[in-house]
Amino acid sequence: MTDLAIQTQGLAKSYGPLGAVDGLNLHVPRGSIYGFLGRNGAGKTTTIRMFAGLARRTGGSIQVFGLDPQYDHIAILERTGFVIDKMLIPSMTGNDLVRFNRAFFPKWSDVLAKKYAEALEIPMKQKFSKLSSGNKTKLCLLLALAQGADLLVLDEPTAGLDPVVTDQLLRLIVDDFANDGRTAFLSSHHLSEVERVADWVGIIDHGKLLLEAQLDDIRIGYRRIRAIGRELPTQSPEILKLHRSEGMTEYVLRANADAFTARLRNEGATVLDVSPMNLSEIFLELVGKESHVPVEVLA
Amino acid sequence: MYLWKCWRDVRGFFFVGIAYLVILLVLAIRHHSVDANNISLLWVLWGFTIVHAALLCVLAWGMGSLGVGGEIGKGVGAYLLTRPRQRKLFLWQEWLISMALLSTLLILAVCIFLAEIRLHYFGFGYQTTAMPASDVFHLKYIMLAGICGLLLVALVYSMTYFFTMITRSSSRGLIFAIGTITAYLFMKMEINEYAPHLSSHIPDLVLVPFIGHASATTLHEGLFVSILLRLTVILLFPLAAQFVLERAEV
Repeated sequence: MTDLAIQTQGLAKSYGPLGAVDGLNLHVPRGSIYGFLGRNGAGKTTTIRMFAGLARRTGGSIQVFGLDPQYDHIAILERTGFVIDKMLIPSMTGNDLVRFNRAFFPKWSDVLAKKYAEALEIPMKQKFSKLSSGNKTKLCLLLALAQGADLLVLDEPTAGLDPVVTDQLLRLIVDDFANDGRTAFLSSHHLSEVERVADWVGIIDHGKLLLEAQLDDIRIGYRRIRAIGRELPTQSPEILKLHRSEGMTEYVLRANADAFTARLRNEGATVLDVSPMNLSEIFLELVGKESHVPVEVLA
Repeated sequence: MYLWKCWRDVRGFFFVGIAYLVILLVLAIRHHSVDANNISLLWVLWGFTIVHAALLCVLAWGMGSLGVGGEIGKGVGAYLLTRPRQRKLFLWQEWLISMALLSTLLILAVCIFLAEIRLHYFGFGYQTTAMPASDVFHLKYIMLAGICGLLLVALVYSMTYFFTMITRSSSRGLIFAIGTITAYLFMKMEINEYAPHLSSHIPDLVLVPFIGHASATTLHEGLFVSILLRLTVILLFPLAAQFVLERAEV
């Protein structure tokens, strides 16, 4: 049995000439909360649809619990709670949807459904079509959580929600789901939310995975170094990105900042500063934004 | 549980059909509408069944447009198709439950007709001397008339279901299905008018099981082959819909 809940190798999906996902190599460890980050149109939703067997890959491979969604999607769906479009059957009430969903999942828990309905204050007697956007999302999450899944895959779970509901949902995912050793995979472009709950992150842009790392490693290892000097190194495995302007060189390093700083000094450079980076800064570096606009604005 | 959802979706149509049958029953008891002294009651039975089948086609159009294709169009596809069931099961459960309900409505309509005949000719303790053809109560003929009606309803329902699937829209599916039936009828009419020698090669929308009049009525030649061919065509629609659904990207 693999230690990965989800693994993709060279995963590709194209719609005619348009490549939505291009050679994606993801590794989602079991028991992790994996934040899948990217701008709108980066390929996040397409990737998730391929996990669920809703879209067919045009190249590469996917394994969810060691199974291929294209051929074993029933077995995957029995163990995975997908929240993708946040659209349920409009004519059904929350209670109807619980009743409807119950029959599909052997590990379904009415106790959990009732608990989440009360905790999240979802009006279960109201038709889905009449619910507010926040309550719709909460109900989708309730159904996914109560099915007793080993893996939760959420596509933009907090999009369009107010901060209170967002907080409720994130706490639910962390406290009630992931603390049991189960895996949560959530796509988002709200970096602060992901930074708050995730322990792994993957950053995708234009269908390509730009970064996959543990969040702790990012916090510990990623540094921005600004230095002045002549003929400073431009090639090194730890260099993630490099900018040069007016005699100053700015490095974004993925690791070994201390050793790299020492090397710069040995080569006669003046190191102006070495600063840690947060997820937003790394995201901006990777997706190629030159100016440091707050990422939440981009979202 | 998916059957429960299917039932919820189409029950409105079913109740409309039941309400219509109740009205039909009341009318049948109050007014003896069947006057079959001059023609075979078999023809009356067939005509009655086809008229009611045609009325049921209105419900069949509605029911057919509520399939899983319509759900995908409404954005429910990602939810529905991430339930751990094979896609074809969703489709066939929907198809079967709607067909069962439409069949029930047609069978009830035929039963009302037969009850009316029985009341009219054999009721109230006397037997009329004008009973033209008691073979109307022969199970074989009743079934044949019912099958002809059901084939029409099933064709309309299956076609609508298929178009709803490929267009992923209830309204577009409905329009395509109505358009196809209308176009076929128009084409048949034009062929009858301008190329009558070809007319016999183009099957009627409604299967006619009998030939002849009054007491000389007999079964149409090749009737069972026709029934089988029409059944095949009808089943091709859900099969094609299954083919589309199993390959559909949502």
